[in-house]
Amino acid sequence: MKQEIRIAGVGGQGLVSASVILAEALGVIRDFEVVQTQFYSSHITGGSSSGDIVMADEPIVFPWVLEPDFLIAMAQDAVNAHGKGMRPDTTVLVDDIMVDDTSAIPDGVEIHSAPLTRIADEVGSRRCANMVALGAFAKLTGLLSLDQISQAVSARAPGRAELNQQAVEAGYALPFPPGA
Amino acid sequence: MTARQDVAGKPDPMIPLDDLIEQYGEVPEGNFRYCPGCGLGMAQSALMRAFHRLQLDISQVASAGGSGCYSIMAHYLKSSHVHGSHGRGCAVATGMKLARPELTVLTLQGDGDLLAIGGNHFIHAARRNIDITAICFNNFGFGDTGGQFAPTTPRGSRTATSPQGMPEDPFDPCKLAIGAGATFVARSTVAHPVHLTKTLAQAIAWKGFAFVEVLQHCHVFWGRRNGMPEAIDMINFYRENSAFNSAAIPEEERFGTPVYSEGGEQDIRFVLGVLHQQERPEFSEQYAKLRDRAQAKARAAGR
Amino acid sequence: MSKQLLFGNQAFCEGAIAAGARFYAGYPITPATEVAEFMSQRMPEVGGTYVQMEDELGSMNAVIGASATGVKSVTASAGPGMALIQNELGQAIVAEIPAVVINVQRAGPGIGNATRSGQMEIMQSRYGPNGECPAVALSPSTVEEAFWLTVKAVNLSEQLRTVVLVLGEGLLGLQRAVVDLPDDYDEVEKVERPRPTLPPADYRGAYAANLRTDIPPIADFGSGYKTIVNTVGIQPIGGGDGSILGMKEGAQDFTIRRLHEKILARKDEITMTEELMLDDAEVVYIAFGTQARSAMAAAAKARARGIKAGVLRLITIWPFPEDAVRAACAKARAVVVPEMNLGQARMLVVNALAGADIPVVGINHVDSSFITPDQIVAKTEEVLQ
Repeated sequence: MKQEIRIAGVGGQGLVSASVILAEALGVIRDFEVVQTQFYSSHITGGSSSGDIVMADEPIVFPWVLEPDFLIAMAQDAVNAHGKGMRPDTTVLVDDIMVDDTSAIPDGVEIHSAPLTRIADEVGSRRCANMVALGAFAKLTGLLSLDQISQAVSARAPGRAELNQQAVEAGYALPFPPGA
Repeated sequence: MTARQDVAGKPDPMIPLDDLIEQYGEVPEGNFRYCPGCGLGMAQSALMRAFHRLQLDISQVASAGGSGCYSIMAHYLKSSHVHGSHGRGCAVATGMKLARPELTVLTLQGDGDLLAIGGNHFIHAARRNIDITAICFNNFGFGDTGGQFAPTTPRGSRTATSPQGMPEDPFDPCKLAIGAGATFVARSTVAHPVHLTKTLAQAIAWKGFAFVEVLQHCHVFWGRRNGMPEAIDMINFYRENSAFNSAAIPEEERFGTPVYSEGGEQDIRFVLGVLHQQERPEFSEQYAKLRDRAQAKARAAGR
Repeated sequence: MSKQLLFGNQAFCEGAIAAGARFYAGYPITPATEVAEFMSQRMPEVGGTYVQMEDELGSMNAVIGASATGVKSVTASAGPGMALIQNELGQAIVAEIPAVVINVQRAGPGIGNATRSGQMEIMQSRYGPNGECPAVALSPSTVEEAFWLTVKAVNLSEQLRTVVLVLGEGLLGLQRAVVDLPDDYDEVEKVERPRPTLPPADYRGAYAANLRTDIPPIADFGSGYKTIVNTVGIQPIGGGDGSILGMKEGAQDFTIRRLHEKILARKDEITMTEELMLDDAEVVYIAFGTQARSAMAAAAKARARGIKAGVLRLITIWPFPEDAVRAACAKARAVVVPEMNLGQARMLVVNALAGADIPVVGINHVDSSFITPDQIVAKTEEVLQ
């Protein structure tokens, strides 16, 4: 089993941080082989950015994401850049207000639109939309329990702990069928 | 306790040169590579007398230097030395002192080496107030390559690269050292050997970044081009144009940028002595405290 | 051993510390900056020293000074910083001062593209310093290997009394992977430089070599011996201070040749490669660093299509593993060298295979995009036609 996961959006959304937390959860807590990489433009804020994960139950030879099995798109740019290459049996989770148009994504791809940013606003800070996304990812894939993703958040993002945990929980509470 | 405080015996101010060399020096096979009459030999003798005055254990003395006429001096001493790349003495010495703070660390550098190519390392070592004694043998130019001008060459004087007279103003190295944060700054000349010995000893004993400018003649390249072809001409030049620092000399007059042209404009006076002293925490000691705290914290965290 | 998610640039740091390095001098530069950041935290924790110098020249010279006192010392840099310290690398190599320099390679000449990766300093590692300097350079391809090769680099630098370069890459330095590292660094092998056992009166200085393969002992500053660390580097045969004894006949030739031969005589311990599916390989991929991962994935894909592909991964870049290249290509009909430069390793492979009639083709990326397995397979099919 090998899975490629990409969390993409624009700089400032905490996508690389989210990918590190997810790598911690999948690699250290769930005991998969994991490599996490990142790509960003030279601007800290506003440029395109992504955090990538390859996870497998065997040693990983090639460490980079080529064809994501799972894409979290936190901005329209991310859909434009990465959506059209998605294979039919893959899954995309998009933010419902940051992404207007999913027509670039080929037919057959499972698209979930969720109010990640809006939930973050309700929790108290738009900056924790990445945490909402992690909760949603855990629920949607069934790869991680709420406890496991929360544990990784505590390990890797100890600052603003209460806010982050609320955001993860709110993401996990989204009405996806578990393991959809 | 630092090595400099290990008083093994009683210093003898009149110790014969042979005995000094026996304790602190090395004798080359064949000739010394200083030019006949060079000020470096006089400077080395004062440095060995300073070691003797402080009763240093020479095996605990380490120095760093780069390229220049002066660079042979360390080979004629019993202390350990990094004969490194041009101008980097203060950076090398910083590594030595931080890695082994118990050593007495010197840099032996020329004016071109320390102030031209090595100026950046010099000002930052001074800023850190790391316990290094930086000794600058100032001969008004690059002697090793044949007497080109350096950042200390008096304006107007002729050198191999200023045949019409040096068009730039020089640094006052002492003023630069003070500005950069050196906590002990002094000036002396090889024409004042007793003063030079005492000044070097004070600087080495200082806890913090100490800077000594040693005016050391190069009659071969600078003197010859500026009407002072013999060593004695330049000894007299230093004696005639020097004054010892005192309360009578206003602070701003203790520094200057010399102007000298043979038979032309001359404005030259060297104020000798300790020109600046200021207590400030020393870097290797501060770092040792930081390290103790970091280790305690790591132990508490189980790392 | 415990599993952890480790950052590539931290793996270099932990490897250095595990091998006993206790001095780091650095200067921030992308993409090596995190090495300095982690070291500023870790060095004091383990009883060592971190100092941030005024430039890369300052860092490398502080490393030389610290190492002269007997403390294992490390710095890291990238791109323009590595270009700046070529002289100091040469000084340390000729002065035979053990040191490890981690080059987290970025892209492009000049300032280049700081945040992007490359493999563009293969030749610089060997030919950067002036005056016929030997090089030892290792090229990790995973985060875990970044740790172990930095351990190896520290050990080799001590054993050989030379500078060992760890050729990282932005793509590796900024990568995280789950790794299993020893919890207790006491268990990690540590090599110490040769130190004199003779009484100080009989010590002939740090360069008392009689044979071209000798690695003479060097006394730490302050240990009771007089040591001149001499970057002038023309040392008399049998020891003594060349500056005191004067230039002796043959000293220059002996010194320069010994710097190389002391390394080449131990080539078997230094040159490391990994062989994958080479036994029947008709097409051999020769790759290193991060791009070796692409080559390994490509070989599996090519095999699935019926092409007998194998991989020779160069772990040691310098001294260049020529013997391994020749052995790997014994049955090859073609060799493909994928690398993120314009063909620096390919040139070395061509040189190693001189006389053999085998096409050696390159896949060369200088846009900082990694080479994909499909690109390598496509090139393979093109070459075999």
